[in-house]
Amino acid sequence: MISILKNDLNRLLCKKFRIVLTLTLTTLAIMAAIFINTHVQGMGNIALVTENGKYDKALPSSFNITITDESPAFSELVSGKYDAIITDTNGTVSIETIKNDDYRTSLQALFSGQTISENAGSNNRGIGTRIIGYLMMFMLLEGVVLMYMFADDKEKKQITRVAVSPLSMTKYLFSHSIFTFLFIFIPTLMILYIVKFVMAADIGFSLPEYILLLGIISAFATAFSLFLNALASKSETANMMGSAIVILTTMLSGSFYSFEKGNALLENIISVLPQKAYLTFVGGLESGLAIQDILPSLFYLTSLGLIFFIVAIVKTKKDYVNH
Amino acid sequence: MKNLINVQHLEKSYKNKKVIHDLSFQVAKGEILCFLGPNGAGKSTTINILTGALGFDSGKIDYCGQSIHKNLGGFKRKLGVVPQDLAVYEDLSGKQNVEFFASLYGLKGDKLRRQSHEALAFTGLLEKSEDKVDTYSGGMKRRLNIACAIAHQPDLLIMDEPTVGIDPQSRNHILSSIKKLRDRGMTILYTTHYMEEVEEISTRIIIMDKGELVASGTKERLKESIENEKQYWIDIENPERISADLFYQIEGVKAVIIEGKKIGVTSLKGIENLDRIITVLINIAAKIKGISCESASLETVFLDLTGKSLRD
Amino acid sequence: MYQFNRIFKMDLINLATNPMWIFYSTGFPLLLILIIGFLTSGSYGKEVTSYDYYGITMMIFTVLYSATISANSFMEERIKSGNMRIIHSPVPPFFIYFSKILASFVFTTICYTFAGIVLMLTVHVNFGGSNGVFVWGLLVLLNFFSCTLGVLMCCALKSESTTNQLLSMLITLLAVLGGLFFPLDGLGKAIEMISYLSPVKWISTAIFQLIYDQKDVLLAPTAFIITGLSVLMILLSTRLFKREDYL
Repeated sequence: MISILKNDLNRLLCKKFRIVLTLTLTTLAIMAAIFINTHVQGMGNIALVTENGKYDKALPSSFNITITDESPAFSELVSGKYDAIITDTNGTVSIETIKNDDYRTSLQALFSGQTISENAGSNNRGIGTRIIGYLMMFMLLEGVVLMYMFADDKEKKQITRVAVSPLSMTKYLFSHSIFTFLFIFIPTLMILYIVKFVMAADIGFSLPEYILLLGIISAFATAFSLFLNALASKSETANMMGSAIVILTTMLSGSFYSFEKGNALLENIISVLPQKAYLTFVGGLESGLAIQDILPSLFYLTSLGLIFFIVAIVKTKKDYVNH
Repeated sequence: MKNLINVQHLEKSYKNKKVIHDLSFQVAKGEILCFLGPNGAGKSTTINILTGALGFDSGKIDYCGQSIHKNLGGFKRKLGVVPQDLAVYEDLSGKQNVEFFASLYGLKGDKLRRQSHEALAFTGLLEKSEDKVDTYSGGMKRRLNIACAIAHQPDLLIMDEPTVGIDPQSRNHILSSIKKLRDRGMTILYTTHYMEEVEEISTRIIIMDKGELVASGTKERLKESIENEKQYWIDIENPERISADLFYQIEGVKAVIIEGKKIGVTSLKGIENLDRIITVLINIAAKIKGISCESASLETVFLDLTGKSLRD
Repeated sequence: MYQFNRIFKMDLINLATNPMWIFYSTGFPLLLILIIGFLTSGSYGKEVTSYDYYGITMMIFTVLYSATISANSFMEERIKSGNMRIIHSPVPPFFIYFSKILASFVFTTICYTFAGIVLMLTVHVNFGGSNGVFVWGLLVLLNFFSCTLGVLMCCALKSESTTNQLLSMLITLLAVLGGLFFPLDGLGKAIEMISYLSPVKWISTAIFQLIYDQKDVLLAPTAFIITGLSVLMILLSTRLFKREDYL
């Protein structure tokens, strides 16, 4: 087993460029995640257009308001730079927004001097959950790529040598998995902490909590990519399928943006996604939910990971050991 | 015979390591020239330089009196290459493969179909030509590898170990095909590890070692060169104390090879020194299990020249 | 030219007969846009729908992913050995990689156009009406750029798996920074500045301006820069492509 780990390490070390690359990209991803998420979004950005570019009434505090005398382009609404353009012509307020009617109504109310509760549409996730949400996609993608050594062994048939050696297939796969796990987990954790200190940013969770949380998702990423590579006969297939599945399901599970108003069927589908369970667990932990409330998500995630791992072993054994 | 290829003082280094050193040789029209050499002798490098795929540091390569680099495209058109690896698309049929590669040599239309058909027929793949390559046996893939190289009817066919890892039937098929191609006027440059193949098809042999040419000539001529030599093979049980120097002291001994429990001693023919060789072995308390004597074969020529067994 | 056509045709067949690539170039963008568009539809109004936003951004994202298709069409094991034989044949090396660029470009352009038409017909993604041609043109240019990028990576890194890793992470990062997954502009000036580091951002801005402001100031410069970059990628590939790597 140790020899497989050593072999994996030596093979990876031959690709120094690759290591540097992974580390650089991970660093960038983490920096982006922290940076974006420490800039908390309020209820939105609003361009307030007045005749002289001045506004003397009191402004609602929960908005980011830019006062201007020239109306921004409509495309800036679409690109999300502004959530609404409010034009005030001598006290008459007109609102231009591409958001839904609720949003328009509450804006209308606010700018006509009424008070409403100012939490509609705000993102209620904690900062740690959001950072992890961002990192999740990168970590899952990394898992898919790092398992290439197993894919390579299959494609170039080195695995047939393993199959006839006294090393059991389970141990062989387990070794690859440990390797992949460590290479997702350690750099991410390290860089996260370095960036935290360099940028002096609040990242939501404590170190032990991050160890636990990143450990869970690293393990899951490993199991998933092992599963995928065991099923696919070609490394490109595993790679391309893997990235497509990861990108699609991770976005769906709401890693970047939580989909609150969907339809029931899709919401049911989403609730099956392991990433969703993970985010529920992370979010629950951050918001201080009781442990028994978040345990089911964790249990679901671990069982799914375990199933992936077992299926990978069974399939690989079937392909190479007793055929 | 007219020279098709003329190589003069070829030099090539990789990262300061010389892999080809002052290599000069000719390929005559219509011959089957076999390149022999242990692994790492520089055979594949020489071939890749000859095909124009690899550059070289200095020297000259002429094809029909003209530098190949002056008109590389024109030269490549006359050249067929059978690479050591199976360079075919597994997802396509044999016919699709042959037609595709032949088209790269400018064949089109009827001519393309006819010559591809001929190449497939020649390699005995016609029946299976519509099948996907991944359903082929190892030998069939090797034959397809050849078909892809001959469909455009090259003047010169370069084959880099085309029979690696196949069954005897397929090998025989390939060897007799090569002879047939030669009979049609094709010139063939052939590298191999297998001495039997060289014995069977070669009209001339070049032996390379460490990037240099160590001998060349017909197999008869090469054998003649060591005709006044013979070789003893001695099997012993405890080779620990054996060293080559022990034998070089004996009169008439020209070369000594120690391969595990086997010792090869090359000696001049006129001198009877077997008893002295045995005495040396007895003196170091070696347990002799058997002795045989061989006269010149290509294998012994090779050993004599390179000090290595071919399949080292 | 005849030889180039043959290689091109072969590369195209290799792409078009692989169900993976077909899914990747049609099913993936469709699924991505339809599902995410549907999920976010609630927070958008009627004038501009979520499909309008994600139809454009996710299309840009998929177009960037063409790089992995061209990279794989170049380096995939089963194709690599065929490439080796082409090296020995009397065709200029330029044909080998340029044909991969062109084949993946043609293949993906057809697939994406199909996906785009489906999106227009089903969820009425606004591709700009009369300006749609320019929007499509920009996407096609970007697609060409992606294909040259993928092949360049192969020439430079000489390894399929490293190329895959680099591309998938780089594209995801560029996409996040470019605001493709979710709008970034609203998050403040600093982030907006960073966002403009990603070339993806210029393209999405150019496209949104074309569609919603009928403004084409960015069209020509963007098209010009993408074309220039594509040419640069091809030139670099010429520099880095070594026949020896296939022997």
